Amino acid sequence: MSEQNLDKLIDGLADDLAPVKPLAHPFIRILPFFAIALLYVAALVFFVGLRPDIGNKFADASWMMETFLMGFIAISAGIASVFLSVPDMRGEKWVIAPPLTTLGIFAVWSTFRAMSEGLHMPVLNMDHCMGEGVFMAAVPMTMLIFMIKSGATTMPRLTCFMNILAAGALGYIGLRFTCIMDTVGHATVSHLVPYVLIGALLGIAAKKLYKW
Amino acid sequence: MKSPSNNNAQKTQSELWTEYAGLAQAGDKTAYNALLREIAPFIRNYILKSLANPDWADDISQEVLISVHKSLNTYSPDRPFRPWLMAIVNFRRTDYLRKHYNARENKQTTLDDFDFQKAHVTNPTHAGEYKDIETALDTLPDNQRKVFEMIKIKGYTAKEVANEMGMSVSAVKVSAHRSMAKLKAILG
Repeated sequence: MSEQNLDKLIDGLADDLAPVKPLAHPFIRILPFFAIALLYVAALVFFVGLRPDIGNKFADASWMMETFLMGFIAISAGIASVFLSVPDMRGEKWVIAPPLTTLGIFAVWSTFRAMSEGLHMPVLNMDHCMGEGVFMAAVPMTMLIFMIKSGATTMPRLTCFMNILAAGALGYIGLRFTCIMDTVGHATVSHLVPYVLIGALLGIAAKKLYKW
Repeated sequence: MKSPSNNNAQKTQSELWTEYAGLAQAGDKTAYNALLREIAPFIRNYILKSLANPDWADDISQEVLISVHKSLNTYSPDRPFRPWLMAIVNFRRTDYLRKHYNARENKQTTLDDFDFQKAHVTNPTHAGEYKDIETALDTLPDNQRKVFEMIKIKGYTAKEVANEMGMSVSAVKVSAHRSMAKLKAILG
């Protein structure tokens, strides 16, 4: 680039400058997401119908642990998503560690459960949980995509992964309140696999999706 | 509107950029112009060390400046400017190199292929010239090539291209001009 052209470019950009409002702090930006996403999942849970034994489940340590881990993943991945939506992550790169660590704990814990309780792998076919799970994650995922696009991510694939983790975890929690099947096999095939597939597709398209 | 303060000599480069960026967000064109002029050589020198071809540094610097312009709202005035800028610089450099090497692969599979020539080139005796032009066009970054093709080949106006590409009219003109100069240099 010649000096002259660089000067022209800089002058052009400076001429185009309009006042901009800096994005709010990520913790503030994520609050409406959690409020709306939780209301949406809760509404869908009541629309689909609470599982009949939900009262007993709050005394079931295994169910509580599963729900707690997924809840933590949803919150931490949501927060990581919104930090990832600005180029320097506001210097808080550690925010991607909690969701990844918790996902690892969830995987190890599910493996131990499968070893002790049995996997009880269902026949691989489309069941209602798959469709309901996708519906439960759809609106949170869409909100996250719009939120990220209002920023400028420099890590589109990681951002997309955190998005699907947050939205998928919310959908998974919703399914734990509606689906009576507690086996690891069913949870993996019918509750998790759809999110993995959607996440893989979005991951491929992440760079185009979050292009700026 | 607040202007850059006069005690700039006492400030470090980083503090100065941070101040300019804050003022630019408020719409201060003078501060913004000064910021872009300060960071342009810094960006070029920083990326130059990691590139095989020094010409790429100019293209990447240009893309970084445009990216800074597009994403100015994502800079947080309570944070130092430099880490924010470096994140953009590294992102654009990686993106540019990835596109460049992908494009090189495409080049190897087009006019070198005799079946392709037979199917797509109407006058095979001129295939060498077509290939030269294609090769020269392939050296342009994707966005720059698209801008060039829209203006010089398809006949769109700079304003139409600016709307389509989400760029300013002046940036489009500069991009087209630069592309033409680069093609002339390559094709002789």
